[in-house]
Amino acid sequence: MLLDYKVKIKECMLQKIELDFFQADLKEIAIQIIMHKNKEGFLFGELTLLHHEMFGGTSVEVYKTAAAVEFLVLSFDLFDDLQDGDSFDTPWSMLDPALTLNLALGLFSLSTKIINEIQSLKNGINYFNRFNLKAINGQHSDLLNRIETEQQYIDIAAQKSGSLLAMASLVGTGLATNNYHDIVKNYCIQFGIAEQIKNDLNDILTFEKSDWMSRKKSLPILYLIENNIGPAILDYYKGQLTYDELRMKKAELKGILFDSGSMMYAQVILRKHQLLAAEQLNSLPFDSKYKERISYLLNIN
Amino acid sequence: MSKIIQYLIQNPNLIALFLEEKICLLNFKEEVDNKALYEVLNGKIMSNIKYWK
Repeated sequence: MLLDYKVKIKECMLQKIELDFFQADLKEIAIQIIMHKNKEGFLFGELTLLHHEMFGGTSVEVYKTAAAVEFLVLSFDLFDDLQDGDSFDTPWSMLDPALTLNLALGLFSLSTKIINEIQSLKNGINYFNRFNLKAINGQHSDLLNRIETEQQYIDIAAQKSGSLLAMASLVGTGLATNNYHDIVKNYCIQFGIAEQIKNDLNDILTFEKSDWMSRKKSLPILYLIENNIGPAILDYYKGQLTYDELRMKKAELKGILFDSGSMMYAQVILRKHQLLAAEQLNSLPFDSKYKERISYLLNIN
Repeated sequence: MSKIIQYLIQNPNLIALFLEEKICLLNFKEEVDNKALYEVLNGKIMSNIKYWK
């Protein structure tokens, strides 16, 4: 199954584009995006397939379901890049933002159309809708940037990142069993938190990324604020320094982040959530080949 | 957690003792906190984090 899953998800996505995107330019860019994603791999679609099979599913509609999941996540990627404005190496980064927005809407609508066509999915449709709405709520909170505490940060990461992983996995289990599996949701949420922390750590190490420009309060910044360390960064987050003024002090920032313990702190929290995810996943009574593949995909060794 | 890490940074001799399991340093509610801290202090986690640009 795993050998040809990428080909099958890609073919299913291309078929759906062929059917519903009849405007030539829209179709062309959508195909480019699918080929771009194909190089990365279809993480979310594969989670749907794996969970479907692990829970004993044999539905012939599983690839269609995985395609719907991938279209949804792809649309969120486009919306997120439009909101952050810091993506420069994707097929859509060269497009006029108005066209990217329209494309994202098209992919979102296509995902819901496909998922509603899958007769055998039943309760899975509820999981699809419930968790994609949670992700949208989390994204809104993240954009508002009102985080003040570690717990608020974790809650938003759970909603924003964990919900999409939970959606992809629970749609797969839902197709197989028609039941809700809380343990699957739990490890997906824990892993989503860990991945969000990792993304934020990588972003904070790149000064030109929008996280610095938008004064995003990720875990290392919350640590500095709580422990009153690093006057340049604290002043910037209070609005007493501009981005250009902070840029003049760029050489100091790395020292503040690493020597203060802020990066270490964020990594401990990251590892904690990876360990919690692994514990939950390993408690499932299934063949280890599935759990090993999910661990590999979710990077929870 | 933030305060505990700050305390360790200010007292690095405690990190060495913690890693050598000569002291039970932390009073965390969950064992997983200790395990995560131990692994990070042992340098197991940094590999996925990029360098400063």
